[in-house]
Amino acid sequence: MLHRRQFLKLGGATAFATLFGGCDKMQRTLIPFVIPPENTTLGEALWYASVCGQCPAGCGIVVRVSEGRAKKIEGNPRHPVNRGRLCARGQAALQALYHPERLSRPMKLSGTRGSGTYAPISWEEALSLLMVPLKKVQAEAPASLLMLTEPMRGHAGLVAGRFMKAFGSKHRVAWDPFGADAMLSANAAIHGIRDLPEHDLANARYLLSFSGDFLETGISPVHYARAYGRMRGDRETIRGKFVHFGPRLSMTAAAADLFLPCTPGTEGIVALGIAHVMVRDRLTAASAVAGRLADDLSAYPPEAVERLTGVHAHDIAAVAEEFARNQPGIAIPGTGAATGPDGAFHCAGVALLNALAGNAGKPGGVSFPNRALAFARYGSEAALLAPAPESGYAAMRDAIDKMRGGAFRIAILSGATNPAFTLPPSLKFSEALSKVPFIAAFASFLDETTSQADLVLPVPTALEAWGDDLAPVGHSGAVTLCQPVVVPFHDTRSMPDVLIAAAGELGGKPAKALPWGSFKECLDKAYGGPGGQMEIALQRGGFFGESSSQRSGARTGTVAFPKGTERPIDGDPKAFPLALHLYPSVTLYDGRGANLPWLQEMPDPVTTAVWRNWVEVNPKTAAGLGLSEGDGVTVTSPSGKITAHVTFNPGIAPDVAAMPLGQGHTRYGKTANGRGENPFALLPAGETYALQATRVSLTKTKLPTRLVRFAHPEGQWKISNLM
Amino acid sequence: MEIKWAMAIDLDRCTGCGACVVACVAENNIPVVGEAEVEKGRLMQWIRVARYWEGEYPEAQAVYLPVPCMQCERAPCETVCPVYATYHNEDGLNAMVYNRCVGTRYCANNCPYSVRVFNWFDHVWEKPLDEQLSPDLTTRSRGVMEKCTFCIQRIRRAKETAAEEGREIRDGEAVPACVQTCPPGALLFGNVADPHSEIARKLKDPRRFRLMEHLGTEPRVVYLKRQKGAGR
Amino acid sequence: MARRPINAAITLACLVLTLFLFPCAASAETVPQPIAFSHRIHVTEYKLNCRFCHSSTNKSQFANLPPVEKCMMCHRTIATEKPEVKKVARYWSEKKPIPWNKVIDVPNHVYFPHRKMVNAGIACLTCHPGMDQAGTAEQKLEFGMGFCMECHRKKKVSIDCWTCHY
Repeated sequence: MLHRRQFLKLGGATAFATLFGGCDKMQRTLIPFVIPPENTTLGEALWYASVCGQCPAGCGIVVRVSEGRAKKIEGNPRHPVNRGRLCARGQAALQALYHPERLSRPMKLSGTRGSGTYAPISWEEALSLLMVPLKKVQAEAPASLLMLTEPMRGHAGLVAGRFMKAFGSKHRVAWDPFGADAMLSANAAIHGIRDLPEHDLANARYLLSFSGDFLETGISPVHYARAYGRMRGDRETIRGKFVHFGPRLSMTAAAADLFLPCTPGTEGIVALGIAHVMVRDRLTAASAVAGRLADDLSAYPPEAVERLTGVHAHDIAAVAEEFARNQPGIAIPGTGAATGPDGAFHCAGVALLNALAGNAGKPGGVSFPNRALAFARYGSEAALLAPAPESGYAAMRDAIDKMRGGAFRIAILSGATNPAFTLPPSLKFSEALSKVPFIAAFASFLDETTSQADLVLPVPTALEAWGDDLAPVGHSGAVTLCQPVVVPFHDTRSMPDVLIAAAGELGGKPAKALPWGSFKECLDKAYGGPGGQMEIALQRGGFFGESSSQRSGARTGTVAFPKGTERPIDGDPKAFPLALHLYPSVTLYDGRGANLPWLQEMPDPVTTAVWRNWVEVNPKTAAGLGLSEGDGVTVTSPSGKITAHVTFNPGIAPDVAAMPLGQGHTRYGKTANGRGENPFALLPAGETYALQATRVSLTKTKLPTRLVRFAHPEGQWKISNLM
Repeated sequence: MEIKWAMAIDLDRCTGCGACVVACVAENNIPVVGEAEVEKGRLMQWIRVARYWEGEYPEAQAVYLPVPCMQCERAPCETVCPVYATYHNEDGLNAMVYNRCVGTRYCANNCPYSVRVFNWFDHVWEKPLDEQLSPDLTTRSRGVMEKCTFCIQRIRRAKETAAEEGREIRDGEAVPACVQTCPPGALLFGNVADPHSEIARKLKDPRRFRLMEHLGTEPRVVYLKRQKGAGR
Repeated sequence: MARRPINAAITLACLVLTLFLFPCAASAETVPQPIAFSHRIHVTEYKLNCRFCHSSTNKSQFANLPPVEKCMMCHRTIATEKPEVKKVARYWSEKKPIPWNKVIDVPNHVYFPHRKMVNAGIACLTCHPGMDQAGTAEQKLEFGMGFCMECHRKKKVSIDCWTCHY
């Protein structure tokens, strides 16, 4: 474009010159193809289907590609999980693909360990550096190989699982800080199925959410958001009602018709209070269940529940009656309820409401699609391809202990879940990891974990790799295929590819377990390959509609009554007056999005803050502490201490301080570093993994930074005008 | 067929998730300005999700209000531009022509909705982030005003496809990036001049209202109020 | 002596003018190209359709230059002894693209889809006059907006700014 300022500065002479045109043009070169690629017309965009890798939800995507470069990501309209829709994080994956700090070639440590100084090497050298210790360990002590990844699904999981088994090590740990452990065990207890249910929101008339974050960062936010929109507006005469219980007015809570704040860590008790009223007033459809639970529930009359939770007894009674009379209705537990020390109890309390309402397997209710079916042909190995979405905390603790004890000689790291950032520091993950003599990391970026490696192997992003996937919810049994939508931008190799090559070189059992030339060949064998079904499926994005969406009926007969263990959260209420409520950031998730400028600059929905961390408190609490909006504070828990800026949330319980997770990186590149401090550092290292596990105190502190918020430049509105 | 584009934003469906914001940034080559510039009010995003809240604990309430350019029928920005860089086009859109703009910023000053953003700098995309830039539209230079265009390049693409196939443009064929991606389906876009279009039906909803209607700007973005209760 | 300052002013003005005019004069010359390709031989003598080489004019926004493979379709057997054709063959055997210099350009702020023009039946020579007689590509017409508008008005197609500028 013509530069207008220069134009004005140079004045008439320039104007005269421009009459002749083209004077300021530089000589530019046009480079045609030697041989043009097939099916492409330069200047015309193409769309390729694949799967999103920004969070575990597994949404289908289509990517617009012009001249071999990915330009835009949209939802795949055919995909059962998201039907053409996509969230902010998914769309920002483009910036990961073209990130200036992406690892472009293999590197070996050139400075001291943890210094982050590396020297680039060739893939041949990298693979030989990996193979030498691998061969030695396999011969001497195969069990001293540790593989630490994010949860892997599809054939990538199969490759990793088989590799470890054939190698002779059972130490394969998959870590997910937002794993659904509590929901899984609750569903096992109440519905008899250790899995995540499908919630048919679109056909529900009533929705109860307990610290739910299903619209922002839950298990499948786009899937739920789409269904939520349909619940609200797609039916002519019915608008589903939405009631939210929780300690904080979150983005999801803001969508509710009725937001009833409760004390943090009491969500399950509120649910049992509602269940009590339903049974007492004979409002339940499942009378058999109700009959069996009547005695247990007698301990939860609304008045007692009010004392424990802060929710008024009359509200509990009213909601119970509305819920029972407006069936089909659904109760959903959220991350806030599930990640307390007693998460399984809270989730079970919520799941009990679904059982009592008798909505299991019905439209507008809860059902369990048969995950096993998609990969049934693998028999006992199916769990490698469709693993339950667990955090893997117990295995992680065990691995840390063993690392510290010197049990491992090689650690292979992979994935975006970054344990050095997302585990409580008191577990001393990094220190334990440093005891492992050889660490190889598969990564796209150096982060707090991968920067401790001796050997860094760059991997393609989800937009450049082959793969397959089964989403945790909303999949209807459909397997999604993942293909390179652009030619890999850097000299990268995927982890399954490297494992297959390594197995080949090891020979013997590993070579037999992974008998393919490449990961693509493995997928071709599984899905019919080029010219077969796979080709059509790749164009569509996966095998949709072909697999039967069989649902295994939830068991309703024997329901184990949830028992709270009354594990108190850390910290003396006198010294630490506020309960700390940690939640996944709407923009940065567990912190993996923190290096993407688009996500840093997207205003947070609740606080409208950008580029920095904050702590949310009730304005009244703040006034009591002498804090005003934007003040710096030190947040102190029994386990740690960080600083942040105060911001007000009028809908947060007065005895709560809430912080988003995701900021506070120190080794994740210049976009992510120095944007506040890491709230994971406040957590104790408990028996179970819990985000809502501690109390904190706030003390005013002078900070050199400011919290920038982007509110409403057009002025304030009365929201009564919008409702 | 006559075309009058319009957008409906259903506040009853909007969850405030911000997917529209990033969709717009990706589609329209919108630069990232950084923390210090955001503080000066120079965020370049063409759509914002304003969050309003009211009341005190435990009765606090929040409502989200996505605000793109209203594409006013009687646009206050158009009348003040000394070089006709912003004008009303044949499809009823409030167009912004970058190569005419001389950067007086009168239009932004006159916009009651504060949706216009100004390029205070020549923004740079650190290599290779520039590989993502869409070739379908200009990357604006310093001194130029810009704003939401209802994704004119997407509308244009849809019109071209329709013309090549010798037919009228179909309802739902042209959608801005924000509308395409909106997870709960709160945004709807279409031709109100077509009585059979979904948007024409949607705009009959009694919940409809327009922002600052008293100013007489006649916005083409119509909001549908948040609802209360279980009925409708 | 008294006229000296005026002289200086005139000299300065001339300097400024030449400074700005000089590159313009250069651009009027033929742009140097790695291969002395002749449009005349291919188009006028051998009656090749423009779209035989610029094959995406009716499909894409861009006309596109032919890939080396396209040149070799004929020049594997035709006129192989000519020095310029040998250059093409060398690029082909080295599997290197030919680095043509850009001659015809529209500014960044213009959306110009070749496809629309070609499919509307506008002859190539309307905008690229004399190309059938040219050696390497040269642009005789200057693409000012007036040139576009004249045709758009005549053909009663949209002259809305947003048709081409966004």
